[in-house]
Amino acid sequence: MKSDAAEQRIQSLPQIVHDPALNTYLKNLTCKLAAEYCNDIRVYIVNVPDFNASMSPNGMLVVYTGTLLRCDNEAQLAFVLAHEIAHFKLRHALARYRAGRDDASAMYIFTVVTLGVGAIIAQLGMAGDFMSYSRDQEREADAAGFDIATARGYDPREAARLWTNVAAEDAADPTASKRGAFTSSHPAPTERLNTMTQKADALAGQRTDWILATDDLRKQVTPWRDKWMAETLAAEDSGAFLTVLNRMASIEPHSGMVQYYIGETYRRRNTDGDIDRARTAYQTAIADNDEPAAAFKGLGIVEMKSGHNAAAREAFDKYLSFAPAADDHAMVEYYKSRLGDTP
Amino acid sequence: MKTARILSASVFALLLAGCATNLIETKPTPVGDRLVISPQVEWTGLQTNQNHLTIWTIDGTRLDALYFFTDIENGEPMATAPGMDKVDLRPYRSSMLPDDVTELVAYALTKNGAQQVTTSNLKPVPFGNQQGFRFDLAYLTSTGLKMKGTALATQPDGKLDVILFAAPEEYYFGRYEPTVDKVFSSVTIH
Repeated sequence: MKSDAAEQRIQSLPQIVHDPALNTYLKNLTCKLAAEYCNDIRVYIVNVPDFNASMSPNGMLVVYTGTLLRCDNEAQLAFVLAHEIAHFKLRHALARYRAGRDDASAMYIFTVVTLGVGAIIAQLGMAGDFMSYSRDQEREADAAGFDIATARGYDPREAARLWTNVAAEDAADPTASKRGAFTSSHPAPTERLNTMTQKADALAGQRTDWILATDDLRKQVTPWRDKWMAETLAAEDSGAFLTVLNRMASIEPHSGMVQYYIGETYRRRNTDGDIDRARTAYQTAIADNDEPAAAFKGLGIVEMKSGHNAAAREAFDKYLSFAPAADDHAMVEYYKSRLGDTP
Repeated sequence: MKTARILSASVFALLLAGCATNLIETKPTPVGDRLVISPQVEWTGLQTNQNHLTIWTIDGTRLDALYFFTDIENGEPMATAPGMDKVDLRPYRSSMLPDDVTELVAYALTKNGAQQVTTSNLKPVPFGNQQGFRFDLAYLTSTGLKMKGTALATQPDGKLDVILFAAPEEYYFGRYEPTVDKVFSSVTIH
Protein backbone atom coordinates (compact mmCIF):
# COMPACT_ATOMS: atom_id res chain seq x y z
CA MET A 1 0.00 0.00 0.00
CA LYS A 2 1.37 3.40 -0.91
CA SER A 3 0.56 4.83 2.50
CA ASP A 4 2.81 2.22 4.12
CA ALA A 5 5.65 3.03 1.74
CA ALA A 6 5.22 6.72 2.50
CA GLU A 7 5.27 5.98 6.22
CA GLN A 8 8.54 4.09 5.85
CA ARG A 9 10.01 7.08 4.05
CA ILE A 10 8.80 9.62 6.56
CA GLN A 11 10.48 7.79 9.41
CA SER A 12 13.92 8.48 7.95
CA LEU A 13 13.38 12.13 7.06
CA PRO A 14 15.60 14.58 8.96
CA GLN A 15 12.58 16.90 9.20
CA ILE A 16 10.95 14.56 11.72
CA VAL A 17 10.96 16.03 15.24
CA HIS A 18 12.09 13.36 17.68
CA ASP A 19 11.64 15.27 20.97
CA PRO A 20 10.30 12.50 23.26
CA ALA A 21 8.24 14.84 25.46
CA LEU A 22 6.58 16.55 22.51
CA ASN A 23 5.86 13.24 20.77
CA THR A 24 4.41 11.73 23.93
CA TYR A 25 2.23 14.79 24.41
CA LEU A 26 0.89 14.61 20.83
CA LYS A 27 0.34 10.86 21.03
CA ASN A 28 -1.53 11.15 24.32
CA LEU A 29 -3.71 13.95 22.97
CA THR A 30 -4.42 11.94 19.83
CA CYS A 31 -5.38 8.91 21.91
CA LYS A 32 -7.63 11.02 24.09
CA LEU A 33 -9.49 12.12 20.96
CA ALA A 34 -9.34 8.89 18.95
CA ALA A 35 -10.38 6.65 21.87
CA GLU A 36 -10.75 3.09 20.54
CA TYR A 37 -8.80 4.03 17.38
CA CYS A 38 -5.74 5.09 19.40
CA ASN A 39 -3.62 2.07 18.55
CA ASP A 40 -4.41 2.43 14.83
CA ILE A 41 -2.90 5.90 14.56
CA ARG A 42 0.81 6.84 14.52
CA VAL A 43 1.71 10.49 15.02
CA TYR A 44 4.65 12.16 13.22
CA ILE A 45 5.70 15.72 13.91
CA VAL A 46 7.33 17.22 10.82
CA ASN A 47 9.38 20.40 10.86
CA VAL A 48 7.49 22.43 8.25
CA PRO A 49 6.59 26.04 9.09
CA ASP A 50 3.13 25.99 7.46
CA PHE A 51 -0.19 25.50 9.22
CA ASN A 52 -1.33 22.00 8.33
CA ALA A 53 -1.83 18.42 9.40
CA SER A 54 -2.62 15.31 7.39
CA MET A 55 -4.02 11.82 7.83
CA SER A 56 -3.37 8.86 5.56
CA PRO A 57 -5.79 5.94 5.36
CA ASN A 58 -3.30 3.64 7.10
CA GLY A 59 -3.34 5.81 10.22
CA MET A 60 -0.26 7.97 9.59
CA LEU A 61 -1.08 11.29 11.22
CA VAL A 62 1.36 14.08 10.31
CA VAL A 63 1.37 17.33 12.25
CA TYR A 64 3.38 20.30 10.96
CA THR A 65 5.36 22.30 13.49
CA GLY A 66 3.71 25.42 11.98
CA THR A 67 0.43 24.15 13.42
CA LEU A 68 1.88 23.69 16.90
CA LEU A 69 3.31 27.20 16.71
CA ARG A 70 0.00 28.77 15.68
CA CYS A 71 -2.43 27.06 18.09
CA ASP A 72 -3.11 29.34 21.04
CA ASN A 73 -4.05 26.45 23.31
CA GLU A 74 -4.54 22.69 23.42
CA ALA A 75 -8.22 23.08 22.56
CA GLN A 76 -7.37 24.54 19.14
CA LEU A 77 -4.86 21.78 18.48
CA ALA A 78 -7.49 19.24 19.51
CA PHE A 79 -9.86 20.51 16.82
CA VAL A 80 -7.12 20.15 14.17
CA LEU A 81 -6.30 16.59 15.26
CA ALA A 82 -9.97 15.67 15.60
CA HIS A 83 -10.62 16.78 12.00
CA GLU A 84 -7.95 14.33 10.82
CA ILE A 85 -9.13 11.56 13.13
CA ALA A 86 -12.65 12.05 11.74
CA HIS A 87 -11.39 11.39 8.19
CA PHE A 88 -9.86 8.16 9.48
CA LYS A 89 -12.92 7.04 11.44
CA LEU A 90 -15.26 7.88 8.58
CA ARG A 91 -13.12 5.86 6.15
CA HIS A 92 -13.23 8.56 3.52
CA ALA A 93 -10.58 6.87 1.39
CA LEU A 94 -12.73 3.77 1.11
CA ALA A 95 -15.76 5.87 0.23
CA ARG A 96 -13.88 7.52 -2.62
CA TYR A 97 -12.72 4.14 -3.90
CA ARG A 98 -16.19 2.56 -3.70
CA ALA A 99 -17.64 5.52 -5.52
CA GLY A 100 -15.28 4.65 -8.35
CA ARG A 101 -13.79 8.10 -8.42
CA ASP A 102 -10.17 7.22 -7.84
CA ASP A 103 -7.70 4.52 -8.65
CA ALA A 104 -7.37 1.87 -5.97
CA SER A 105 -3.64 2.54 -5.67
CA ALA A 106 -4.07 6.25 -5.06
CA MET A 107 -2.32 7.77 -2.08
CA TYR A 108 -4.88 9.58 0.02
CA ILE A 109 -3.75 12.26 2.37
CA PHE A 110 -6.39 14.24 4.21
CA THR A 111 -5.17 17.68 5.13
CA VAL A 112 -6.76 20.27 7.32
CA VAL A 113 -6.13 23.04 4.77
CA THR A 114 -4.89 23.05 1.20
CA LEU A 115 -2.14 25.54 1.99
CA GLY A 116 1.20 23.89 2.53
CA VAL A 117 0.26 20.48 1.22
CA GLY A 118 3.23 20.52 -1.11
CA ALA A 119 5.93 20.32 1.52
CA ILE A 120 5.20 16.97 3.09
CA ILE A 121 3.90 15.41 -0.11
CA ALA A 122 7.16 16.34 -1.83
CA GLN A 123 9.20 14.95 1.03
CA LEU A 124 7.37 11.66 0.77
CA GLY A 125 7.89 11.59 -2.98
CA MET A 126 4.15 11.23 -3.44
CA ALA A 127 3.29 14.38 -5.33
CA GLY A 128 1.99 12.42 -8.29
CA ASP A 129 -0.23 10.26 -6.12
CA PHE A 130 -1.82 12.86 -3.91
CA MET A 131 -5.60 12.75 -3.90
CA SER A 132 -7.64 15.45 -2.33
CA TYR A 133 -11.10 14.94 -0.93
CA SER A 134 -14.42 16.42 -1.77
CA ARG A 135 -15.69 19.49 -0.02
CA ASP A 136 -18.55 17.38 1.34
CA GLN A 137 -16.09 15.00 2.98
CA GLU A 138 -14.19 17.95 4.43
CA ARG A 139 -17.44 19.38 5.80
CA GLU A 140 -18.22 15.97 7.28
CA ALA A 141 -14.77 15.81 8.90
CA ASP A 142 -15.18 19.35 10.25
CA ALA A 143 -18.51 18.40 11.87
CA ALA A 144 -17.38 15.03 13.18
CA GLY A 145 -14.09 16.48 14.41
CA PHE A 146 -15.97 19.20 16.25
CA ASP A 147 -18.09 16.57 17.97
CA ILE A 148 -15.03 14.48 18.89
CA ALA A 149 -13.19 17.42 20.47
CA THR A 150 -16.17 18.88 22.32
CA ALA A 151 -17.11 15.43 23.63
CA ARG A 152 -13.70 15.46 25.36
CA GLY A 153 -14.53 18.81 26.91
CA TYR A 154 -12.57 21.17 24.63
CA ASP A 155 -14.09 24.63 24.40
CA PRO A 156 -16.24 24.71 21.23
CA ARG A 157 -15.54 28.42 20.73
CA GLU A 158 -11.85 27.64 20.07
CA ALA A 159 -12.66 25.95 16.75
CA ALA A 160 -14.04 29.22 15.40
CA ARG A 161 -11.15 31.18 16.93
CA LEU A 162 -8.67 28.88 15.23
CA TRP A 163 -10.26 29.44 11.81
CA THR A 164 -10.49 33.16 12.45
CA ASN A 165 -6.76 33.22 13.15
CA VAL A 166 -5.83 31.14 10.13
CA ALA A 167 -8.06 33.19 7.84
CA ALA A 168 -6.51 36.43 9.16
CA GLU A 169 -3.00 35.21 8.36
CA ASP A 170 -4.17 34.10 4.93
CA ALA A 171 -5.83 37.46 4.25
CA ALA A 172 -2.61 39.28 5.19
CA ASP A 173 -0.62 37.35 2.60
CA PRO A 174 -1.25 38.68 -0.92
CA THR A 175 0.45 35.60 -2.41
CA ALA A 176 -1.87 33.14 -0.64
CA SER A 177 -4.64 33.26 -3.22
CA LYS A 178 -2.12 32.70 -6.01
CA ARG A 179 -0.94 29.57 -4.21
CA GLY A 180 -4.45 28.21 -3.89
CA ALA A 181 -4.65 28.45 -0.13
CA PHE A 182 -7.99 27.28 1.24
CA THR A 183 -9.23 26.52 -2.24
CA SER A 184 -9.68 23.37 -4.28
CA SER A 185 -10.80 20.60 -1.96
CA HIS A 186 -11.69 22.50 1.19
CA PRO A 187 -14.69 24.62 2.15
CA ALA A 188 -14.08 28.36 2.12
CA PRO A 189 -12.73 29.69 5.44
CA THR A 190 -15.79 31.90 5.95
CA GLU A 191 -18.05 28.88 5.55
CA ARG A 192 -15.96 26.87 8.02
CA LEU A 193 -15.93 29.80 10.41
CA ASN A 194 -19.70 30.26 10.20
CA THR A 195 -20.34 26.55 10.68
CA MET A 196 -18.06 26.35 13.70
CA THR A 197 -19.56 29.49 15.22
CA GLN A 198 -23.12 28.17 14.87
CA LYS A 199 -22.18 24.84 16.42
CA ALA A 200 -20.28 26.55 19.24
CA ASP A 201 -23.19 28.90 19.98
CA ALA A 202 -25.49 25.92 20.32
CA LEU A 203 -23.15 24.13 22.69
CA ALA A 204 -21.15 26.68 24.67
CA GLY A 205 -23.76 27.39 27.32
CA GLN A 206 -24.22 23.77 28.24
CA ARG A 207 -21.28 23.75 30.66
CA THR A 208 -18.89 26.16 32.29
CA ASP A 209 -15.80 24.01 32.59
CA TRP A 210 -14.76 23.82 28.95
CA ILE A 211 -11.07 22.96 28.55
CA LEU A 212 -8.50 25.32 27.01
CA ALA A 213 -5.31 23.77 28.45
CA THR A 214 -3.23 26.74 27.30
CA ASP A 215 -0.29 25.99 29.57
CA ASP A 216 -0.21 22.31 28.61
CA LEU A 217 0.49 23.16 24.97
CA ARG A 218 2.79 26.08 25.75
CA LYS A 219 4.97 23.94 28.01
CA GLN A 220 5.65 21.57 25.10
CA VAL A 221 6.11 24.21 22.43
CA THR A 222 8.24 26.72 24.34
CA PRO A 223 11.58 24.89 23.93
CA TRP A 224 11.07 24.88 20.15
CA ARG A 225 9.45 28.23 19.59
CA ASP A 226 12.62 30.21 18.86
CA LYS A 227 13.69 27.77 16.13
CA TRP A 228 10.23 27.49 14.59
CA MET A 229 9.68 31.23 14.53
CA ALA A 230 13.09 31.78 12.90
CA GLU A 231 12.31 29.19 10.23
CA THR A 232 8.92 30.73 9.53
CA LEU A 233 10.46 34.15 9.23
CA ALA A 234 13.07 32.91 6.73
CA ALA A 235 10.34 32.31 4.13
CA GLU A 236 8.25 35.40 4.84
CA ASP A 237 7.22 37.52 1.85
CA SER A 238 4.77 40.04 3.17
CA GLY A 239 4.74 40.09 6.93
CA ALA A 240 1.65 37.83 7.15
CA PHE A 241 3.32 36.08 10.07
CA LEU A 242 2.84 39.34 11.97
CA THR A 243 -0.81 38.34 12.49
CA VAL A 244 0.45 35.30 14.42
CA LEU A 245 3.12 37.23 16.33
CA ASN A 246 0.77 40.06 17.28
CA ARG A 247 -1.75 37.54 18.57
CA MET A 248 1.02 35.88 20.61
CA ALA A 249 1.97 39.30 21.96
CA SER A 250 -1.61 39.96 23.05
CA ILE A 251 -1.62 36.65 24.93
CA GLU A 252 1.93 37.08 26.28
CA PRO A 253 2.42 40.84 26.60
CA HIS A 254 5.81 40.46 28.29
CA SER A 255 7.43 37.95 25.98
CA GLY A 256 10.69 39.48 24.82
CA MET A 257 11.12 36.70 22.30
CA VAL A 258 7.80 37.44 20.59
CA GLN A 259 8.63 41.15 20.46
CA TYR A 260 12.06 40.32 19.04
CA TYR A 261 10.48 38.37 16.17
CA ILE A 262 8.00 41.18 15.55
CA GLY A 263 11.03 43.46 15.19
CA GLU A 264 12.74 40.97 12.89
CA THR A 265 9.66 40.70 10.67
CA TYR A 266 9.34 44.48 10.28
CA ARG A 267 13.07 44.91 9.68
CA ARG A 268 13.08 42.30 6.93
CA ARG A 269 9.87 43.52 5.27
CA ASN A 270 11.20 47.10 5.32
CA THR A 271 8.23 48.89 3.78
CA ASP A 272 7.35 52.48 4.76
CA GLY A 273 7.48 52.88 8.53
CA ASP A 274 8.72 49.36 9.18
CA ILE A 275 12.12 50.44 10.47
CA ASP A 276 10.41 52.55 13.15
CA ARG A 277 8.06 49.67 13.99
CA ALA A 278 11.05 47.34 14.22
CA ARG A 279 12.82 49.75 16.58
CA THR A 280 9.76 49.91 18.86
CA ALA A 281 9.48 46.11 18.93
CA TYR A 282 13.19 45.62 19.71
CA GLN A 283 12.99 48.21 22.47
CA THR A 284 9.91 46.50 23.91
CA ALA A 285 11.74 43.16 23.77
CA ILE A 286 14.72 44.63 25.59
CA ALA A 287 12.45 46.08 28.26
CA ASP A 288 11.21 42.57 28.97
CA ASN A 289 13.41 40.11 30.75
CA ASP A 290 13.67 37.21 28.33
CA GLU A 291 14.82 38.95 25.16
CA PRO A 292 17.39 37.17 23.02
CA ALA A 293 20.73 39.00 22.80
CA ALA A 294 20.05 39.32 19.09
CA ALA A 295 17.42 41.96 19.92
CA PHE A 296 20.33 44.33 20.64
CA LYS A 297 21.88 43.50 17.28
CA GLY A 298 18.57 44.04 15.50
CA LEU A 299 18.20 47.37 17.27
CA GLY A 300 21.75 48.31 16.32
CA ILE A 301 21.02 47.57 12.65
CA VAL A 302 17.86 49.70 12.52
CA GLU A 303 19.57 52.54 14.39
CA MET A 304 22.51 52.35 11.97
CA LYS A 305 20.15 52.53 9.00
CA SER A 306 18.39 55.47 10.61
CA GLY A 307 21.66 57.35 11.05
CA HIS A 308 21.42 57.20 14.86
CA ASN A 309 25.06 56.33 15.28
CA ALA A 310 25.36 56.70 19.05
CA ALA A 311 22.28 54.54 19.64
CA ALA A 312 23.56 51.97 17.13
CA ARG A 313 26.97 51.86 18.82
CA GLU A 314 25.38 51.39 22.24
CA ALA A 315 23.13 48.57 20.97
CA PHE A 316 26.01 46.80 19.24
CA ASP A 317 28.16 47.06 22.37
CA LYS A 318 25.40 45.46 24.42
CA TYR A 319 25.02 42.70 21.87
CA LEU A 320 28.74 41.96 22.03
CA SER A 321 28.69 41.89 25.82
CA PHE A 322 25.53 39.72 26.06
CA ALA A 323 26.63 37.29 23.33
CA PRO A 324 30.38 36.89 23.87
CA ALA A 325 30.46 33.56 22.03
CA ALA A 326 28.52 34.72 18.97
CA ASP A 327 30.23 33.91 15.67
CA ASP A 328 29.56 37.34 14.13
CA HIS A 329 31.67 39.51 16.45
CA ALA A 330 33.95 40.60 13.62
CA MET A 331 30.95 41.71 11.55
CA VAL A 332 29.47 43.73 14.38
CA GLU A 333 32.85 45.34 15.05
CA TYR A 334 32.94 46.20 11.34
CA TYR A 335 29.52 47.84 11.64
CA LYS A 336 30.83 49.85 14.58
CA SER A 337 33.87 50.93 12.58
CA ARG A 338 31.58 52.28 9.87
CA LEU A 339 29.72 54.36 12.44
CA GLY A 340 32.88 56.30 13.29
CA ASP A 341 32.72 58.66 16.24
CA THR A 342 29.77 60.70 15.08
CA PRO A 343 26.61 60.75 17.21
CA MET B 1 16.87 6.19 -0.74
CA LYS B 2 20.21 7.92 -0.69
CA THR B 3 20.43 7.94 -4.49
CA ALA B 4 16.97 9.46 -4.76
CA ARG B 5 17.95 12.18 -2.34
CA ILE B 6 21.18 12.95 -4.18
CA LEU B 7 19.27 13.32 -7.43
CA SER B 8 17.14 16.00 -5.84
CA ALA B 9 19.96 17.88 -4.20
CA SER B 10 20.14 20.88 -6.46
CA VAL B 11 18.31 24.08 -5.60
CA PHE B 12 17.77 26.66 -8.32
CA ALA B 13 17.61 23.68 -10.73
CA LEU B 14 14.36 24.99 -12.18
CA LEU B 15 16.20 28.10 -13.27
CA LEU B 16 18.31 26.17 -15.71
CA ALA B 17 17.48 27.00 -19.32
CA GLY B 18 18.06 23.49 -20.61
CA CYS B 19 20.99 21.29 -21.35
CA ALA B 20 23.28 23.90 -22.88
CA THR B 21 26.72 23.73 -21.26
CA ASN B 22 30.18 25.09 -21.84
CA LEU B 23 33.61 24.18 -20.56
CA ILE B 24 35.11 26.64 -18.08
CA GLU B 25 38.87 26.40 -18.45
CA THR B 26 41.33 27.34 -15.73
CA LYS B 27 42.22 30.72 -17.23
CA PRO B 28 40.63 33.90 -15.74
CA THR B 29 36.99 33.98 -16.80
CA PRO B 30 34.53 36.88 -16.82
CA VAL B 31 31.24 36.34 -14.99
CA GLY B 32 28.42 38.86 -15.19
CA ASP B 33 29.28 42.44 -16.06
CA ARG B 34 32.17 43.04 -13.71
CA LEU B 35 33.60 39.89 -12.10
CA VAL B 36 36.63 37.95 -13.28
CA ILE B 37 37.24 34.55 -11.70
CA SER B 38 40.23 32.20 -11.74
CA PRO B 39 38.45 28.84 -11.76
CA GLN B 40 41.45 26.81 -10.40
CA VAL B 41 40.06 23.63 -12.00
CA GLU B 42 37.88 22.94 -15.00
CA TRP B 43 34.17 23.46 -14.42
CA THR B 44 31.09 22.99 -16.56
CA GLY B 45 29.11 26.17 -17.08
CA LEU B 46 25.33 25.87 -17.32
CA GLN B 47 23.05 28.21 -19.18
CA THR B 48 20.25 29.66 -17.07
CA ASN B 49 17.07 31.50 -17.96
CA GLN B 50 18.11 34.51 -15.89
CA ASN B 51 20.47 37.31 -16.85
CA HIS B 52 21.88 37.62 -13.36
CA LEU B 53 22.57 33.96 -12.60
CA THR B 54 25.52 31.85 -13.78
CA ILE B 55 26.05 28.29 -12.56
CA TRP B 56 29.24 26.25 -12.63
CA THR B 57 29.64 22.65 -11.51
CA ILE B 58 32.35 20.02 -11.38
CA ASP B 59 30.42 16.76 -10.94
CA GLY B 60 26.92 18.03 -11.79
CA THR B 61 24.62 20.42 -9.96
CA ARG B 62 23.18 17.59 -7.92
CA LEU B 63 26.58 17.07 -6.30
CA ASP B 64 28.12 20.53 -6.30
CA ALA B 65 27.17 23.93 -7.64
CA LEU B 66 28.79 27.34 -7.69
CA TYR B 67 26.12 30.00 -8.19
CA PHE B 68 27.04 33.53 -9.28
CA PHE B 69 24.28 36.07 -8.65
CA THR B 70 25.68 39.18 -10.28
CA ASP B 71 24.76 42.84 -10.69
CA ILE B 72 21.52 42.59 -8.71
CA GLU B 73 20.03 46.08 -8.64
CA ASN B 74 18.04 47.84 -5.97
CA GLY B 75 14.42 46.63 -6.03
CA GLU B 76 15.14 43.37 -7.86
CA PRO B 77 14.80 39.90 -6.28
CA MET B 78 18.04 37.96 -6.01
CA ALA B 79 16.50 35.00 -7.83
CA THR B 80 13.10 34.01 -9.13
CA ALA B 81 11.15 31.20 -7.50
CA PRO B 82 8.90 28.53 -8.94
CA GLY B 83 5.23 29.44 -8.74
CA MET B 84 5.84 33.00 -7.57
CA ASP B 85 5.55 36.27 -9.41
CA LYS B 86 8.65 38.45 -9.37
CA VAL B 87 6.73 41.29 -7.68
CA ASP B 88 5.84 39.05 -4.74
CA LEU B 89 9.45 38.14 -3.96
CA ARG B 90 11.44 39.99 -1.32
CA PRO B 91 13.69 42.42 -3.24
CA TYR B 92 17.32 43.35 -2.74
CA ARG B 93 17.76 46.88 -1.37
CA SER B 94 21.00 48.80 -1.79
CA SER B 95 20.58 49.95 1.84
CA MET B 96 20.91 46.36 3.03
CA LEU B 97 23.65 45.53 5.49
CA PRO B 98 25.50 42.20 5.28
CA ASP B 99 23.10 40.68 7.83
CA ASP B 100 20.19 41.60 5.55
CA VAL B 101 21.96 40.01 2.58
CA THR B 102 22.49 36.72 4.43
CA GLU B 103 18.74 36.68 5.12
CA LEU B 104 18.03 37.44 1.45
CA VAL B 105 20.21 34.52 0.34
CA ALA B 106 18.47 32.21 2.85
CA TYR B 107 15.11 33.48 1.58
CA ALA B 108 16.05 32.79 -2.07
CA LEU B 109 17.12 29.26 -1.15
CA THR B 110 13.91 28.68 0.79
CA LYS B 111 11.76 29.88 -2.09
CA ASN B 112 13.57 27.42 -4.34
CA GLY B 113 12.82 24.41 -2.16
CA ALA B 114 15.45 24.46 0.59
CA GLN B 115 14.25 23.92 4.15
CA GLN B 116 15.54 24.89 7.59
CA VAL B 117 18.13 27.22 6.10
CA THR B 118 20.58 28.56 8.67
CA THR B 119 23.43 30.99 8.23
CA SER B 120 26.51 31.41 10.41
CA ASN B 121 30.02 32.83 10.67
CA LEU B 122 29.21 36.15 8.98
CA LYS B 123 32.43 38.14 8.79
CA PRO B 124 33.96 40.95 6.74
CA VAL B 125 36.46 39.81 4.11
CA PRO B 126 37.87 41.29 0.89
CA PHE B 127 35.98 40.67 -2.33
CA GLY B 128 38.67 41.37 -4.88
CA ASN B 129 39.64 44.99 -4.29
CA GLN B 130 36.27 45.75 -2.63
CA GLN B 131 34.94 45.31 0.88
CA GLY B 132 32.94 42.12 1.03
CA PHE B 133 31.66 39.59 3.50
CA ARG B 134 31.48 35.85 3.81
CA PHE B 135 29.14 33.47 5.58
CA ASP B 136 28.28 29.79 5.80
CA LEU B 137 24.95 28.06 5.24
CA ALA B 138 23.29 24.76 6.05
CA TYR B 139 19.95 23.50 4.82
CA LEU B 140 17.92 20.49 3.81
CA THR B 141 16.73 19.83 0.29
CA SER B 142 13.05 19.13 -0.28
CA THR B 143 13.81 15.42 0.00
CA GLY B 144 15.79 15.77 3.20
CA LEU B 145 19.40 15.72 2.02
CA LYS B 146 21.70 17.72 4.31
CA MET B 147 23.54 20.44 2.41
CA LYS B 148 26.32 22.86 3.31
CA GLY B 149 27.19 26.10 1.63
CA THR B 150 29.55 29.03 1.81
CA ALA B 151 29.02 32.43 0.23
CA LEU B 152 31.05 35.51 -0.65
CA ALA B 153 29.24 38.78 -1.33
CA THR B 154 29.79 42.46 -1.96
CA GLN B 155 27.70 45.55 -2.73
CA PRO B 156 29.85 48.05 -4.66
CA ASP B 157 27.87 50.95 -6.16
CA GLY B 158 24.73 49.61 -4.50
CA LYS B 159 24.60 46.50 -6.70
CA LEU B 160 24.80 43.06 -5.14
CA ASP B 161 27.11 40.24 -6.20
CA VAL B 162 26.91 36.88 -4.41
CA ILE B 163 28.97 33.78 -5.11
CA LEU B 164 27.44 30.76 -3.40
CA PHE B 165 28.87 27.25 -3.32
CA ALA B 166 26.57 24.45 -2.16
CA ALA B 167 27.05 20.70 -1.96
CA PRO B 168 25.83 17.73 0.10
CA GLU B 169 27.31 17.88 3.59
CA GLU B 170 28.46 14.31 3.27
CA TYR B 171 31.73 14.13 1.30
CA TYR B 172 31.11 16.61 -1.52
CA PHE B 173 31.24 19.91 0.39
CA GLY B 174 34.52 19.03 2.08
CA ARG B 175 35.98 17.68 -1.13
CA TYR B 176 35.61 20.96 -3.00
CA GLU B 177 35.79 23.54 -0.20
CA PRO B 178 39.58 24.15 -0.64
CA THR B 179 39.06 24.78 -4.36
CA VAL B 180 36.18 27.14 -3.63
CA ASP B 181 38.31 29.05 -1.13
CA LYS B 182 40.88 29.61 -3.87
CA VAL B 183 38.15 30.66 -6.31
CA PHE B 184 36.84 33.18 -3.77
CA SER B 185 40.35 34.55 -3.24
CA SER B 186 40.87 34.91 -6.98
CA VAL B 187 37.92 37.21 -7.65
CA THR B 188 38.60 40.58 -9.18
CA ILE B 189 35.92 43.17 -9.74
CA HIS B 190 35.83 46.03 -12.27
